[in-house]
Amino acid sequence: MHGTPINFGIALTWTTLVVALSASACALLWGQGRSAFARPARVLYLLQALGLATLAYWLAHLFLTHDFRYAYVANYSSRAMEKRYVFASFWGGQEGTFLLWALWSTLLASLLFRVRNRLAPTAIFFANWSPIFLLLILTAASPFRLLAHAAADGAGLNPLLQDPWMTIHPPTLFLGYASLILPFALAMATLVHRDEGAWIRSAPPFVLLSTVILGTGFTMGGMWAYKVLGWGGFWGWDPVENASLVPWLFNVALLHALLVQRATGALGRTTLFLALTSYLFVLYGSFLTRSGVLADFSVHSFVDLGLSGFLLAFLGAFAIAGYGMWLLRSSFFARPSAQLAAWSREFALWLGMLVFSLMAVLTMAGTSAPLLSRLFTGTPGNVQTNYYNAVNGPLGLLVCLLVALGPLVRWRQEAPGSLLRQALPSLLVGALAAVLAFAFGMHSPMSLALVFGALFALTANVAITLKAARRGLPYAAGYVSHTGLSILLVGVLSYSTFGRQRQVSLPKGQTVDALGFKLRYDGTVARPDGKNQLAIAVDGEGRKFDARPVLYFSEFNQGVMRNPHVERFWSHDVYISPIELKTEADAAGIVLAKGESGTASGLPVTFEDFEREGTMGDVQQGFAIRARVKVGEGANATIVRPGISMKAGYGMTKLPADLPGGGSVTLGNVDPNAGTAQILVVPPGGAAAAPEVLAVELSTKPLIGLVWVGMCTLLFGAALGIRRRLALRSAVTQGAVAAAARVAAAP
Amino acid sequence: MKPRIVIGSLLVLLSIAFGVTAFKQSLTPYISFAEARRSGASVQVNGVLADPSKVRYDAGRSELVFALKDDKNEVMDVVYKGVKPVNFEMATNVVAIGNYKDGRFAADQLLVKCPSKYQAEGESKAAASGPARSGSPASETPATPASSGGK
Repeated sequence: MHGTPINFGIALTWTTLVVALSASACALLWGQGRSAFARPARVLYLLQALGLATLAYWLAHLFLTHDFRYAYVANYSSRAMEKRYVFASFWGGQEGTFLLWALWSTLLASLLFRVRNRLAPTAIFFANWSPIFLLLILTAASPFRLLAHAAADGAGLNPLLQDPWMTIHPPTLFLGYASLILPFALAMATLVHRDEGAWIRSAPPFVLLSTVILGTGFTMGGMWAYKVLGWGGFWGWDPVENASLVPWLFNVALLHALLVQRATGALGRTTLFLALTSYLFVLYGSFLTRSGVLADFSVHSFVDLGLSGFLLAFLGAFAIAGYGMWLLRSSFFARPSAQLAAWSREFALWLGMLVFSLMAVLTMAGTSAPLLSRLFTGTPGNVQTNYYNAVNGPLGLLVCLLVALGPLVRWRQEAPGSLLRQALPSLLVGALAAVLAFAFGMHSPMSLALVFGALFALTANVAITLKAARRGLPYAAGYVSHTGLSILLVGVLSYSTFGRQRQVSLPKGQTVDALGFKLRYDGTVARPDGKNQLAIAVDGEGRKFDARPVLYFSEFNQGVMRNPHVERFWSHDVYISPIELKTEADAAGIVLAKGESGTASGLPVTFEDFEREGTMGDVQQGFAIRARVKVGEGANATIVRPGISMKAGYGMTKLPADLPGGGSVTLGNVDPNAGTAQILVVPPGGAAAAPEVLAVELSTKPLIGLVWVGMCTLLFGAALGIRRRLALRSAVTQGAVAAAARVAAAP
Repeated sequence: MKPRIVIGSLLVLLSIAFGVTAFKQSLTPYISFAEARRSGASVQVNGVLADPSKVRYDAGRSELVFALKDDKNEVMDVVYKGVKPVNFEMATNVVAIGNYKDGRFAADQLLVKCPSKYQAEGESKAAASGPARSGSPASETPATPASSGGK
């Protein structure tokens, strides 16, 4: 950023970068056994954390004081916004999220100082790579860049982000991303020091921490999507969503592999590989979604800040260092003799690990489709969401079966034994549920199989949870999570199969029947924030309620935004999403070049010329372009001047022109290069006949509440797991002892 | 052989085979109208409205009928079951996802690009980049009759 004067924020970014580099150097030396560097490492690390906290505080301060000298503040906030959303503008753009990510990584990695073994200093060294790279990016794309001239007001934040969820969802998600550096760094330190026992003792609580935080992050995102976006679901397999799901799936795979390693000493290389991979996929996901490579294929908008090179270097450095180290040194952790008995719990856990990894790989392949298809076929294309459902369906069924058998299989069990007999009651419940679902109209074989699997798993895990919880709830942690997963699946299957939906047109004041509801559109209700609410009186299923969905044109997004109305019943939601509001008669349009004549809505129309008001392109002062149009012929001809105006803060406004005797002429699409204009004509008398018509999509979402209940239960179980792991951390397990013995015996 | 290797490699191979098949089926880059007619499978076509004044919409049945013209100037009739997207006649570009049957293209999904802002040369307003998500892109209105179900 040449020409940008150095200011406090930029100077502190550089200073913090230097401090972070020195902290890393000290940690490295400390990790090599020079304990004299322990103290400097701690002090420098503390300074680094203080530096980042100050940067974050400073940026928040600039936002809250509306300091529009700063480009970032001017781009993502405005004076008119509510205070909490001004604060949320902090993560409205990429630069702010990089700062947040750096701060979170630093704070989380400070937990590594509490690890009481030799891995700690080396792990801190590796964990600090992340803030260092992020600080480097921040020197290139600084949120503290000054504008040449201070703006009077800012552009404001995307209205879709001005939602209570958006004040907590992004920071949580970034905390989740950042937390995956901890298993990565511990794995690297383990490879350096070849200390398997320390890895088994220290990794599990950190891995579970990531499971909980990242899971909470994308669950919040799902709730926001359901409540705000109005397309009727909570998970759309969008690249940004997948970028958070894939590392989480690898993290969950790692969790299960760690259980096997702890108990049997096997899978040492696998757990290290998965720990490295989950963070690498955080970086790969960031690259995909932030570099602009998917810009044409996502419903989210991504701006290329010219950071592709940085992001690729970030990913490349971690991938080469991580996998390089793994290839060179992981053979030490191989246990060729370790067998997993065929019907044992360790075998089931290993299968679970494999299935989660496959889900992650296939989901990432779909997300990378535009890159992959360009590579193999030459034309970039994208996969539809049905791809994700198709590949994750069968794997999800396998997960269900494993989760159902989980409580029944024993460690080191060689034969199926009484497995089938024990599973019989829950198997029957699953089968019964599938039969019932079929009777209620579910006919897709995959869905029926999943219903069977989910209920099989649910019954088995509820039973074992109740039993295990007698010793204390933390003992049932895994089973609680598995119960949650089954509940979640039942919710997903129910709402996607039994949900009904219809698009209906509601002429103002008329009652329309749809899906057993009576709907009447009564007009719009103005809201102070300018987003108009639509008043719909609904009567059905024994309840009368006023639906208030929102439909507005967003200047910011230059598009129509639709916030649905969600009416909650105990067993289901009724979801009313507006589609469009038509307030004028259908205008028939025609595209004409200068001087051309044609017919629109039965009237002869001649486009004579463009007329310009103000300086073209000067959005600060505002300008308008009008078309001089002759409507009618001979003595009845009228000259009208419909136009389009542009002004900063107001965006594009249509300036229709009235015709004598009613009717109007609107300027549609203007092509300044070809010199053509689209002219839309509502003939006299046409407007009066047109009533206001609101089109909405009405849908029911049976049992959708189970999705949230299930996900929360799953995360609660993982949180219980952290408690249990922390309590167990000092206890050295059988497997670790066995592993250590083998290590000692090795030449 | 160890059961782990047998079951593991079987699972991996099956997933890859299934994944590749599903990927190919679901990968729908824009193809020409001529190809769309031949294929009959679910494809993605991209064109401009052949004649904005000939767009027919039946509000009662929620059915939209129009003709698209691709870059080879070939015209194809398209029928879409659903509510007509806002400002449809002004669309500069329409992407239709669906399949060709009974002499016309039955679209399950429409993506409409509207000339929503007059952009002077050299001037471009940076769109938002949300940390996690920022809603619709600048000027694309997705319209889908069947909301995507499932997780």
